[in-house]
Amino acid sequence: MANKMANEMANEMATHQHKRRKLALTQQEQATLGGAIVPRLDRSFDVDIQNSGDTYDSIANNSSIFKLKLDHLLETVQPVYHKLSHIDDTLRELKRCIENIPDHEPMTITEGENLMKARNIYVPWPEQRPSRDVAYTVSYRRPSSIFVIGSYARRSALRSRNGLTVDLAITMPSKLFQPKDYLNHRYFYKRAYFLAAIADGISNRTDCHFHLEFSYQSDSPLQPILIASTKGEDSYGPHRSDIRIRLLIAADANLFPAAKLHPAKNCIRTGKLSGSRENVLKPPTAFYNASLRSECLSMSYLKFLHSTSMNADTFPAACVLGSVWLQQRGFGSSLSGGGFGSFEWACTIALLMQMTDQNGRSILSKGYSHYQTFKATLRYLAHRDLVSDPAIVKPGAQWFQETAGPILFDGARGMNILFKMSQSSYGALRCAAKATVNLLSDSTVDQFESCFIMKLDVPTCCYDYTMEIPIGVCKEASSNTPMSVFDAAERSSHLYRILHEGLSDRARLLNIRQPATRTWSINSPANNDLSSSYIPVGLLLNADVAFRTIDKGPLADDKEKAARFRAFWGEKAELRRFNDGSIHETLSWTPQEGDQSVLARSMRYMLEKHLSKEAARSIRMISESQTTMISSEQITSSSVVLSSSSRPSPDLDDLLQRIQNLESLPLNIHQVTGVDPPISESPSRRSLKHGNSAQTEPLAINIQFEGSSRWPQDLVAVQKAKVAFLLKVAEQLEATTAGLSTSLRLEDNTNLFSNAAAMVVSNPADSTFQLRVHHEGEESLVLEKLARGSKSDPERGMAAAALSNYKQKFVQGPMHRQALSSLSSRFPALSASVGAMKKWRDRHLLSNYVSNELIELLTLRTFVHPGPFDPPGTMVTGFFRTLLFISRWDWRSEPLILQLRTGLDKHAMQAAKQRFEAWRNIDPAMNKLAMFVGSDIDPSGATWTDKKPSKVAAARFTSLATAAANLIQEQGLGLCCDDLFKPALADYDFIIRLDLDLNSRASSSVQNQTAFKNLQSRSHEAAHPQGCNLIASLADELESLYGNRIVFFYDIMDGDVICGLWNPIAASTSWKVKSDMPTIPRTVHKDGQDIDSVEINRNGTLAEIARLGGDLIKSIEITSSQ
Amino acid sequence: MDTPEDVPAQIAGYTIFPLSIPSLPSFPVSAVHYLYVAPHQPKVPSPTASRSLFLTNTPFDSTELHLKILFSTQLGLPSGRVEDVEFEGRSRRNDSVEPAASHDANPTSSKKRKRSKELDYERELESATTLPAVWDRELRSNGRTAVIRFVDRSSMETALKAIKAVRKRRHKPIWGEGLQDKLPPLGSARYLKHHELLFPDKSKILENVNKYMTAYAAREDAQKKLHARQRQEPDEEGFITVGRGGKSNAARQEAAQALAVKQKEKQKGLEDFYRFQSREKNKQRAGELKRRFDEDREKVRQMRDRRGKLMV
Repeated sequence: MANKMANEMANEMATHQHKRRKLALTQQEQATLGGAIVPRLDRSFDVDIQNSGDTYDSIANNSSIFKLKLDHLLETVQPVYHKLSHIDDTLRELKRCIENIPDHEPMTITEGENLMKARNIYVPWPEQRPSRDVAYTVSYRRPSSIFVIGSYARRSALRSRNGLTVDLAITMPSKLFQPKDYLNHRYFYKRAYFLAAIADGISNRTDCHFHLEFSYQSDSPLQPILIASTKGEDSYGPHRSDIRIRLLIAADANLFPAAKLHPAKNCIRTGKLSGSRENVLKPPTAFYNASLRSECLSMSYLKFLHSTSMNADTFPAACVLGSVWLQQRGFGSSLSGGGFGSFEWACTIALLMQMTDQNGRSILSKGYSHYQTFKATLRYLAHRDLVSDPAIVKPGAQWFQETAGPILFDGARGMNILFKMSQSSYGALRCAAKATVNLLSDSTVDQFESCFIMKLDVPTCCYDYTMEIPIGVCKEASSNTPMSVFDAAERSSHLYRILHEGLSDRARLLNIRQPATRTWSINSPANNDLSSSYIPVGLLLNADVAFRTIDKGPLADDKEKAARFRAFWGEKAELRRFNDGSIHETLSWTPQEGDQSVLARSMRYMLEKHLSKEAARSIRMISESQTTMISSEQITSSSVVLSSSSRPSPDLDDLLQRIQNLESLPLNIHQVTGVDPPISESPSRRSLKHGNSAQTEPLAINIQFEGSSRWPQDLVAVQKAKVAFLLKVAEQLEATTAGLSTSLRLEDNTNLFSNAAAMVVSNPADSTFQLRVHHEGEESLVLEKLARGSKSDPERGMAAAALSNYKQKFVQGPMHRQALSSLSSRFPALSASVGAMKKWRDRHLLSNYVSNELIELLTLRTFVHPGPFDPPGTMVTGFFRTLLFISRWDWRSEPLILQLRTGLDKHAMQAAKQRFEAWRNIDPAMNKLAMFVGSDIDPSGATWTDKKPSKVAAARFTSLATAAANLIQEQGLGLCCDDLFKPALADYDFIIRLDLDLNSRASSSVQNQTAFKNLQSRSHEAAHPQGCNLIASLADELESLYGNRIVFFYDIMDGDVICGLWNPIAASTSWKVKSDMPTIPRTVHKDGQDIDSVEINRNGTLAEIARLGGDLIKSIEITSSQ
Repeated sequence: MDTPEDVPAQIAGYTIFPLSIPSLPSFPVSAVHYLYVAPHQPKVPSPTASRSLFLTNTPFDSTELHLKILFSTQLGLPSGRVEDVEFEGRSRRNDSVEPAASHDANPTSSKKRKRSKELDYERELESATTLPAVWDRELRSNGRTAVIRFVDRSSMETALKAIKAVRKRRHKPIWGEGLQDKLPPLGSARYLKHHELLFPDKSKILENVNKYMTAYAAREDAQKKLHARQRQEPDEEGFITVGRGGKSNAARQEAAQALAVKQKEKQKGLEDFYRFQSREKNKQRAGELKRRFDEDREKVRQMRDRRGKLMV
């Protein structure tokens, strides 16, 4: 009864609070949260329905799906606690074990160590072992308490692949310590002995089945811990999952006064003990203090977090969400995880609930739902810079110390929650939080997936630029001692400072990861020498400045800064006068040296100057070498990002002007538009290989004449009239411009409704253009034909093809190109990424299925909807992420809808979504449309994916991308990019090997002549028209002949094979008069009757292919076993 | 791979005619191709049907020459017995012949002169519709059927008999034997020629376009005149046909549409005039929301089934 009342009250309070919050947050919410907020998640739907109008909207939009997914997530990631009762048994057993360990008498360090050694246990001394002559003693006494703490105790643990981890805090009795033990590691020495004694006690008991190992808590050498895992056999039944029990050491909260362990105090005093005045000047030992303090506060934090979850019932769920989010991004409590894990997350939320902002409002309300809490916490982390603006909750003491790391100081307990974070890991956390906050306000993408499901800890995908530095070379050459975690931390922060200063605004984020420590056996000394490990470094770049060649430093007049700049850069710094008259300290880099980009060389220079030559030499620029491998050619200075394609705009503009100026045409010209060229797959490579630039499509120009009633009302006549116009324009162009040559190119002479011809114009400077006439009336004429014709009418089919052709050439095509070129100036890495993707597609023989435009749109998605990342800053990252996206994209049930314009056009987006649903309704088997790719400029979604890729090809596309994505994720920094481009020929039924020499001879014979000379002298036999790709023609024809029964795969650019798969469904069919393939007659006995059927004549077909290809085909190999 | 012995002698009434395909260096396998042959029985009976054979599953590179040689010399019959070969998706030559033939078949005496004039530009139009061919040799991709017309019925029957006998022969007729040099070659030469043909002479195209446009204009003109006449003259029952091309026709239509839109808008304003209307609307909206919520739930469930469980 009382319970029920309390529930009701809570409900009412929640409602009240909800309303109040609504008022407080409305502006903010509307601005940033959009519709994504889910009010009061724990209510059922019916309650919402009865509520006032504003909750309707939250259900009406996407958020209800989001909420359902969130609930499902919470359900699946958490262990089912009531099924875990056996864990309690295990824990009880362990506790009993520990409690039965007999006390030791106090003894000196040496005595204690020897005693343990005799029992085959190595005491895990922190960092440096204590000197043997110290006066104090070590001993063991029965723990004052043993408690389960951590996420398992708080019921916010995650189910993970490695099984469940349970934290057990063993509180050391205060009697072991003296008041001054907080100084000079004394506490930690005693603690280490205490731990060794426990290890000894457990391992020597025969009735305890635990496997024991030492490890470092949070990678910190100060805090060794024991990890107990249950031994192989288990007596608890077959369903037991693995449990790892971490035995943490805790101390009484009042063991040492909090003030002594304030982050600003020094607790490690070297040399003689001296007066207190000097003490103040010694550097504070924040990490040491906080480590000690955190051990004393284990229980307090458990209580604190528990009471928080009592006050706010969504708190545990918010913690779980946070843990998932952190884990997917590779963050963790340990130093190698960046020092921000689920404990820190929970504490941050709990503290934020107590804090108020400048206006006196609390930052987090207790009435928030778990998702709101999650989001608000992320927002806090993203927007508040805790380094320059430390947050102090209930300040007990004033903050008076500048520190390097971020500070979130819990005044009530006297500890900086973020003490383990370095500047670099804090930067990474903020960056991730910012990206997620941005993501959650972008309603066009699947927020849930990118926020919680995607694994984002692969450095090559997360960062624009990655490298590895062997930590060994960062230390002074003389020392030969093993490198400890603290040494490594110091080195990496030194490295951070150097790179941070040197890179200045080239990089937005510089993340240097700490190497992780390993567990070690209790019977051996700790072995965590890190000197041979590599530190991975990830950069997020400001793409537009990252590869600049001139670094403009401080003004020469600013003496202080200039001196500093010179000190950092040494002789590289020089004074330069700029256009505006100002004189700056400047660095200038040559654009290209070997295969090293400016960025790589400037970093090598910094390291050589400030560390050592060896350091500069041994740094591994992973992105750099990947770029080289992907583009497989000498990279140019900017090719890591490769600026937008080289558009011969002066020529184009000139021609456009000339066309505009033509006078004596039957109709006036309304508009002349140049369509931007498609981004080609590294043009220089092709021209090197084939000496053939002819294969690139000439620039398209569309001419639109003034509307006139004289245009015929018949589609065929319109096409003829367009040809007439083209001829007229060509004639006049040739007459007015010297050196210009034109020739008419027929386009489609099977479909009379489609554009019949284009005029190819080449100017004296050897650039070529394609002129077409765009007549707007065409569309309505085609639509009329479509509406009239019956389904079986061949005219209807032709009209449909004509319509899609018209849209591609005159409407969507130019719009797509324009959007692409404006976006590629916004994202410098875009065009290079598109190039890499096209190369990948071609190498995997998908040229004919995945159109250029589709590749461009898929790559664009990586940039305009970067999801949980920021837009990529280099080609490699853009390429990898696009592959990852394709591998994840479930095109069967999800459309891809892009927002290419700047303003959000909800209407178009909605229209595209409806189109997708309509497609799936009328064509559920996806025979006509497999991938739906729409955008706000093209809601139809089928312009570039109509019929191609077919379902089979799309599935192959996805599976190839999945294989590539797996490779990228598994290999991480060791990835060899060449592997991504190796086609798997064994998958195909037969392989047609082509004679490429013939093809390149054909095209290079064009190269030797000036363009279109052949047209003036047609009689010459040897002349071949421009753009002659015999292989492409052959492939086209193969497809039109056998496309129904064979799936062909080839690389249109320079593949030497055409591969084929027999369509398994069409292998054997019943008899039909008409056939599209050579067949073999068969008689099948079925149900006592002979049924006439035919089977594909495979040899006959291959023989036909061999005849068709003639001298172009070297050989046909059959790979399949049949 | 398949010996002809596995293959039945007939399928669905068609006699099977095995051909041996010469092997090529690029594909050194001697393959067998099967033609299916039967007496021609068109849906619409034609006078020549009785002396014709119907062929299906013809090779992609079949030409008239191929089949003529095959059905005379290669079958061991005297040459010149095959009169004509007609492929599916007939060649243009036949196309242009037929309408003329039908025109000859039923001459209408009174309007003959006029009709023939009309047909003149129709024919002009027809012939100028297509631009010059871009391939030097057509391939049989569509249906792969053909009709072979023999000079008389008996040669047709002899041919059919000879085909039946082929089964027992050791050496099957070789497809395209001795024809290599008589036809435009396939392979690179074909595609080079294609690229050449893609760039036709501009003057020829201009001629073609002019011819078409003139014929088109003539037809338009004639149609306009016809419509104009129809608008003025009552027909036998005294009605005047209303057709396109009247003076104010289009404008009137637009005005009517605009009026309809206006009317619609007017009605719109009254939808929540009564209280019950708005109440009903709310109810509808709530129902809609609930429906959508259920849909979403279903969607998530499906997603869950598809994806399986998440492990972090």
